[in-house]
Amino acid sequence: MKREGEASLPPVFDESGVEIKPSYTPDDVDRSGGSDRIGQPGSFPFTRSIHEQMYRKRPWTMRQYAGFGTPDETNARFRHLIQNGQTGLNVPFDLPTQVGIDSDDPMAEGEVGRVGMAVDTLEDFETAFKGIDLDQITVSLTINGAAVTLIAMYLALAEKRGYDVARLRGTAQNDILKEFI
Amino acid sequence: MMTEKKIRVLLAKPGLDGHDVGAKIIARALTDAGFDVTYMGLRKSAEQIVRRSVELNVDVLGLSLLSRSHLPLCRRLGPLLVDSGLDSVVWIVGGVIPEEDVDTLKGLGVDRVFPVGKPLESVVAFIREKVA
Repeated sequence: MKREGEASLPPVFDESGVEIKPSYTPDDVDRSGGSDRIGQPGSFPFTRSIHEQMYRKRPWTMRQYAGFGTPDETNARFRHLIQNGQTGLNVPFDLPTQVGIDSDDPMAEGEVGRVGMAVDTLEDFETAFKGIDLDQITVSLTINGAAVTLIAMYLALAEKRGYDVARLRGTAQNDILKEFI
Repeated sequence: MMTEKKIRVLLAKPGLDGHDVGAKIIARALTDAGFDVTYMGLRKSAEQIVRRSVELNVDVLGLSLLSRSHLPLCRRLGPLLVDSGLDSVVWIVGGVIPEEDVDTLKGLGVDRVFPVGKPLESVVAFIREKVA
């Protein structure tokens, strides 16, 4: 319906070419097969979100991409973020770590500790996560080609500190081709 | 009858950074300008770049750097160019290069720095002026 004096706006389409209406009513639900077909939040076919309570139950994780050249500096930053309410960590790595070479490799010259943290040994990881309660946070490792190694390091660190690995939560970027194409 | 020799350009990405859209765009722009362009690809060592420059007998060497490792890498490459008799090669560097580092790079032998945002035509014009 057009109100008196209201200019008509051009139609809006989504990327698939389906027109998006300015607003929707129960009639539109019926035309899509009714509420049975659309389902309830948290159940098949998940039209109305993947969790029943979604963000009412648990807000999304705030994970600021944050880290510095050395594990010590990174640890200080992590602690600061957690103290200020962050519940997840997003760990950046330097390029030698990202492509899977050591800091003393000739090709690493000039790149060590730039754009992220240098990790050569498990000890580096232990330093970065010192004093951080691993089952209270979720961790995102922004690592691709070397994802398997870095996830193994994270798990080894957790085991060494006595955590049940099954209780850890997190993810890795894990795009194996990212550094190569 | 003599045909004019094409200006020969070698482009490379030293260091470990994998972002090379910039290098590829430069390669395309220089090719369109009529230059003979070779792009070496990602993660080339200073030694590999100098060796290829000698093999191709280049007029211009262009490096693309985005990871902030430009100073140590150019510091390594500069003397290798001189040792290989490539002093006269026009050496250009582009990418994420802070203004404060431009003079240092020039001191290392770089002829011109093209930080992010410089028009493609300015790179073409500079090469034409220096190599002609």
